[in-house]
Amino acid sequence: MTEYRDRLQIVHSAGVPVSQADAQRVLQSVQVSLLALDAAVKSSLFDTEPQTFDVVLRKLAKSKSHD
Amino acid sequence: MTEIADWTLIATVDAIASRKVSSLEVTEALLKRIAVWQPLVNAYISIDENGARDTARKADERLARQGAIGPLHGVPLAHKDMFYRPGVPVTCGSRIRRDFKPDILATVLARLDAAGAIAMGALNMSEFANGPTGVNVHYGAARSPWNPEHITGGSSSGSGAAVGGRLAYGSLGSDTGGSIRLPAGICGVYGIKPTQGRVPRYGCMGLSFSLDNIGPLARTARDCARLLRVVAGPDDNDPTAAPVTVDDYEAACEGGMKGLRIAVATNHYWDGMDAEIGGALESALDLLGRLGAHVSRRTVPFHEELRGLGNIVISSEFCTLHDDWLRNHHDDYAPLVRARMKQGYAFTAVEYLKAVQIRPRITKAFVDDVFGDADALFLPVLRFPVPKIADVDVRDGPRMNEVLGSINHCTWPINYLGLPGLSVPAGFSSGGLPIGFQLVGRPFDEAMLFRIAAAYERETGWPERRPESAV
Repeated sequence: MTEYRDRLQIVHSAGVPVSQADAQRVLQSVQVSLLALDAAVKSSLFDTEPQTFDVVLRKLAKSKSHD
Repeated sequence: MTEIADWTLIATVDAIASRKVSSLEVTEALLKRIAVWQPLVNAYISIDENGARDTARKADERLARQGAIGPLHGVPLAHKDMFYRPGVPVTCGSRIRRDFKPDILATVLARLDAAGAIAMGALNMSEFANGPTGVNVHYGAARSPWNPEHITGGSSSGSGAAVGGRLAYGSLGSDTGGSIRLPAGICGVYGIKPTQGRVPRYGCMGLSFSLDNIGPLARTARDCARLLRVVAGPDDNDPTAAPVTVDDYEAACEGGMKGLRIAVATNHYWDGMDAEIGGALESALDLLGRLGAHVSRRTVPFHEELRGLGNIVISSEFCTLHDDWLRNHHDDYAPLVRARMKQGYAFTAVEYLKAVQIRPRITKAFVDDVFGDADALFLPVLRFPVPKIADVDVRDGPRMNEVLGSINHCTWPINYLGLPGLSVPAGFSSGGLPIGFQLVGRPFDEAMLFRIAAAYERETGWPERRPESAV
């Protein structure tokens, strides 16, 4: 987790108290979450067509799917 | 003869409309039950006895004058203490907002008012809707009506306790990582997290504007269906509310199971499954199959990624909303709440925006993969028996992330995907505590979830079981 130690500086710079336990949790949270992000974003997002989440949900709705 | 408080929401609406009982009599019956049970379960933060009686009298007068005005005419409800009504204090389960009085009316409350509902008071919740256990250091933990040593689940803890304990006929909660589905499943009632955008959020306290959802908890599938239909639909005050037609969910409850396809996720959600809980879920699947559903087992994609992606979005947005208070009122937050919030500062803008930008692509891939040949996805609510409060009240200690993560393990991924999820009662453990499962569906196909749940309920009758007397 040492590679994420710089993240603690961001938290400190926000002006909130950071205990040893807080620091440990921040490092753990960042490590796990960024691994997930890296796995999800396997390639550039540059070519993602413009879209918003709500529009995609409506496109994915299947009309009368329970008929 | 059953007590009035034991009636379902719809039975009570019908009894009032047909003048078998008055709204005031129903309200008095509920107040009587609340007086006995509240000290045990701590479901309510505040009880508006006079306001409820006054509204009930007016409902009775109106019924006599012009007939029932709506589908909830004269029925007492109570909601998580995070929905705004002008001049009425709304604590959000916090010390910081203990005396806050909003000046706007939440769209969902306006719709319930128009449908004729009575407001009984404000229900307990995790502070700022953050925390899956139902522990609240400011107002005390809500306690399970099935055994008060055990958790209700959270963050809509009072909603679970009140509906499960029959201290309200229905309730609105909010769900950002499981906060409706957990207390519903843990307290033995139905609770639906609708599709992102299905229910307007105007006038509701926010936690994470990308992942928050408002939805009902109720004792039966049909009760829950009626409440969702009342509050769902587009809203001029909320541009994030989806312009999608609201289905007749009660009609969907009458559909059968025959020919429906139910997929069971075999990975992630079943990791470390307790034998008794797993056995109960297998029994439920067996029954769904005997009722005519085609049940198939399969792995589902992205289960490793969804927790982290959701964490980046929720942490960043929660931290954004609370940044000013966290710096200036740090000690007014519970240690657990501020500890969770601080994690949000550590993500960069680029990381947050990547997690937001990839979301439509992930959801589309998930829906195409899972719902290409399934009508609903079957998941557990919890993988272990309902824990004791003492065992999960970890504050900001070293086990915090592990304990909280284990409780919302099965509910958390669904919010990032934006899909609807319904908690369904599925029996009781040997310790007498509820067991539940989740049904997850395609976007805006809440009707399918109610259809399956109601067919299952007709065979099992789980909502008829009541908690033992508190006295």
